[in-house]
Amino acid sequence: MVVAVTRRTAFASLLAVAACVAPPSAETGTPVPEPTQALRPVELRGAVPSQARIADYEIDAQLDAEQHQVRGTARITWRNRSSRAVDSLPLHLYMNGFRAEDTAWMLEARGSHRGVRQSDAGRYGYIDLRAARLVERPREADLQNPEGAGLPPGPVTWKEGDDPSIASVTLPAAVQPGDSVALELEFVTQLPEVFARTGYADDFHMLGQWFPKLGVLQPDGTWRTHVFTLNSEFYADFGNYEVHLDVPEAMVVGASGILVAADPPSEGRKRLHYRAEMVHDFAWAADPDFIVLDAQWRDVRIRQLMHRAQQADAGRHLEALTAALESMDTRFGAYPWSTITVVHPPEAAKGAQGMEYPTFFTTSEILHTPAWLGLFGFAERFSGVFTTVHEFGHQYFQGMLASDEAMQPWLDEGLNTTSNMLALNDWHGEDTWFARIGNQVVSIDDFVRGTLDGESQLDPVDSRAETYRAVVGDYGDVVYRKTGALMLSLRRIVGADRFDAAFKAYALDWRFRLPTGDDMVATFLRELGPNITLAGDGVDDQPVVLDLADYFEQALHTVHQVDFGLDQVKNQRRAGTAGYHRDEHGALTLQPLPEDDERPLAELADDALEGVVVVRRIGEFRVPVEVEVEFGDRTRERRTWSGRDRYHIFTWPGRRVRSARIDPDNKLLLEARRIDNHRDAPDSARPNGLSRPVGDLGEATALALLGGLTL
Amino acid sequence: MSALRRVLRAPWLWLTLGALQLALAAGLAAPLRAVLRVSMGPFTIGDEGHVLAALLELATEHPAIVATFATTLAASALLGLLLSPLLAGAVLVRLAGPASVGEQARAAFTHFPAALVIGLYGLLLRLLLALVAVALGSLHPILQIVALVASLTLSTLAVDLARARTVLDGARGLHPRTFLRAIATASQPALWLRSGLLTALQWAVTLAILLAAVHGIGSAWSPWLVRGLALLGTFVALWRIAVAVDGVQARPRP
Repeated sequence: MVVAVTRRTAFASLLAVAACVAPPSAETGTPVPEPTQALRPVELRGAVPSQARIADYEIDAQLDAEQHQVRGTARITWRNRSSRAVDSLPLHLYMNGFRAEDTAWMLEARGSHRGVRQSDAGRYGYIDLRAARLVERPREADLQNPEGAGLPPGPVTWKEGDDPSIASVTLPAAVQPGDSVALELEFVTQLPEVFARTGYADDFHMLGQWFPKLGVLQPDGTWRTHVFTLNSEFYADFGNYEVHLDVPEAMVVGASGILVAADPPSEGRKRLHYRAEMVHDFAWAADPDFIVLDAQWRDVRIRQLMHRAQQADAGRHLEALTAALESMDTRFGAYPWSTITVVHPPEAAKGAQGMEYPTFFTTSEILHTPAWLGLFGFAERFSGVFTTVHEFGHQYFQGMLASDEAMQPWLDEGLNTTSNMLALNDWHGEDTWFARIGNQVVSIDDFVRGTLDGESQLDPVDSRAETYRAVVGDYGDVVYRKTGALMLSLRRIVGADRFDAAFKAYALDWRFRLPTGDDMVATFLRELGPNITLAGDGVDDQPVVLDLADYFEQALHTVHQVDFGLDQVKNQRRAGTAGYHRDEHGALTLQPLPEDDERPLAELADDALEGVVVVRRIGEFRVPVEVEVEFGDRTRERRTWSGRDRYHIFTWPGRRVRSARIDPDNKLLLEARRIDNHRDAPDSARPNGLSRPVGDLGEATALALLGGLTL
Repeated sequence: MSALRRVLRAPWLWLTLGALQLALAAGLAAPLRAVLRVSMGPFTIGDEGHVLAALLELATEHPAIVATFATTLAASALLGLLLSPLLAGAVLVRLAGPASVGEQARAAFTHFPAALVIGLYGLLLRLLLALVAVALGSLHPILQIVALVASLTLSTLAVDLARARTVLDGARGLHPRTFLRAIATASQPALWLRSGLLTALQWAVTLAILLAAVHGIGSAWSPWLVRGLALLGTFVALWRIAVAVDGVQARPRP
């Protein structure tokens, strides 16, 4: 999910006025045959671990487009792969988060989500369980006990939790380890008018988190279900989905997985059969005004659904999607599924924009600003398409690496943001700009840094989703961008190749598994080693070592900020030998002061000076940092400081220091305050680089407003 | 005498007004430069391509920068509005023919209230005509733009003519009838076209100033190009007023 940066008004206004520069569009619209398999061939996608398949869903659903209601039956076959017998099955009833003002979700949202207000008509949505019963489970469902009798068919009882977004089904007997159970649930889902991911707007229907879903049995035998809150999103086991949809004949449908069959329309309705394999959710959208544009990336069928008014941007979105596919397929392993479907919600359904589901996501619109702004060099290139890159990225983080979004949202949103920035680099080059004004650019680094002040210091990255309160507003800054910054800072410190290899190892090791933050850190420690010797000269020519566990500990579990500053950059007279010293006879003899003792420093020869640079660690975050010094003869020298002490004094006897710069290669993306990172020695002071250009801009604007004295 | 010749025969007027404008702009920007210098302290920014990011970072810590910038802009606009009626008398007298500095100063002082009120009439006319132009926009966007340009140039000429009649012919500038007669005169196509083209040229110069400033942030050439354009803008403004002087002086007198 994409979180809007509402507080960064400067950047937002930049986006708002920026003109779009669209490169040539990729080819789109040629019909592509529906794949016959939901997964790509094994030689392309690699093996999928069979033990990852825990919960299969067979859903039969009927959409009442007038009432915006879905009536359905979900048959869930669940396998107990733990070593513990289980006598109840917890359920997520996500749609009940919208049932009343006092649900956990609504209490936090207070009527709006990502800037979209909840309407009065169609304000509430719910999912109502009408019946629950055990049914004959498929014979192949049992792994260790294929001939086992299982639980007898018949009705079972269920109970909603304190918050209606969770419920629990009580089983008549325990499901033994290795055994399975098939639970059939009848449900009615009433959609709200869309303002938060799911719902309807006019004829558009977005069906996300629309059916009852099982919780996840943890390795320790406890269930993980979470109350649905504003930021908690989802967590589920992998399985296969067979979904039969009965919709009005005019509806154009896009869904997770592949379309297996479409029955001939009858009495104004049609039935569609979809299949998705090794996924943990299923979503679909329907709208009679959708047009369908197909494209292909290698053997993957890409489908975009949109209103005709949005068609002009389809090529740009496709270009972004294929760039993301290329990047992530290379960096994190093969994309395993045979399809990806992109839905462009119409203008009236902005609340549905920017949300991810397996093999299916919704994107947002590209901003179109007046062409005349181009005269001023205004341009931006990531509105809308960044949403496409981001939501596609979720096919990996959390589509395949299905981490618990409620417990550790940074694992999906933050690592995905990291992968997005890498994808944008792969697409447009390193340190690419996202907005331009005149001869100035705002790079992605600038943007990320601009969000790392203030609120981002309030909660640690590794916090539960419910920790981030809407009234504080730090969820996006911390979970998305600070995670991205900490990962990319690490990448720049240890080197891109080493980091990328470790990141890929994490993605490959944990695909189709449910990794935790500890799993990610452990993978990086294994791949990079606990202590990483950094390139470059350290203080006193000693190598500098990064303690990786300490880095992650600070970055993930504290609110420490990275902040260094130059306390002093100056030259001082080099210590001489003037004064009394004992001679060879033991008598004190006076060595006179040098003749140039009274001369100003600027007039002294370099070898009579000592350059001094004092670097201070202002923030609490301890991390190695490079310092580059420029000397009077314009040569430069770099030192890496461990950053562990509060400050460090660098001296260069016999050399005149002209200026010093902290982190010259811009490695520490985590450092938001960088104004104090570059300083000249007083005897070499140059203009500060900001007063003149901005002052000139102010003067020019004044001249424009005076307008020839407005005569 | 042609309007252009009137301006060329008053080089000191142009240079004085140009210099005044440059000095005012420099003075208005001085607090901004100062607050930036103080906020930066002993530090410098390295990469001139990232001025905006550095400025945003600094402004976050020092909101006074934003306040100073806003004050600079507001003061510039206000000064522009006040200087126009204040200088109108002096400019019109000099463009009408040779006049001593004392005569110019006297004219400026004497006619300031009337020039100010005429300016307000002009503002009202602009507002009314702009509303009409917006209404026409519902028929076609191009129509709206044409109507806006026409109405704004007409208003500007009407103000110039009313002030010229007040200063040069002794008309009662405070009386709305003077302004209404100026509107009638301004609607003569030839006069309107000459003045309108120069008004449009003035807008173009203003736009060029902004473009040069935005595209040349941090460059050595931009401030000088901007100042040169500002001088050109003053010249064009004088030329436009000289058209009104021509219009008044060419008129048969009762």
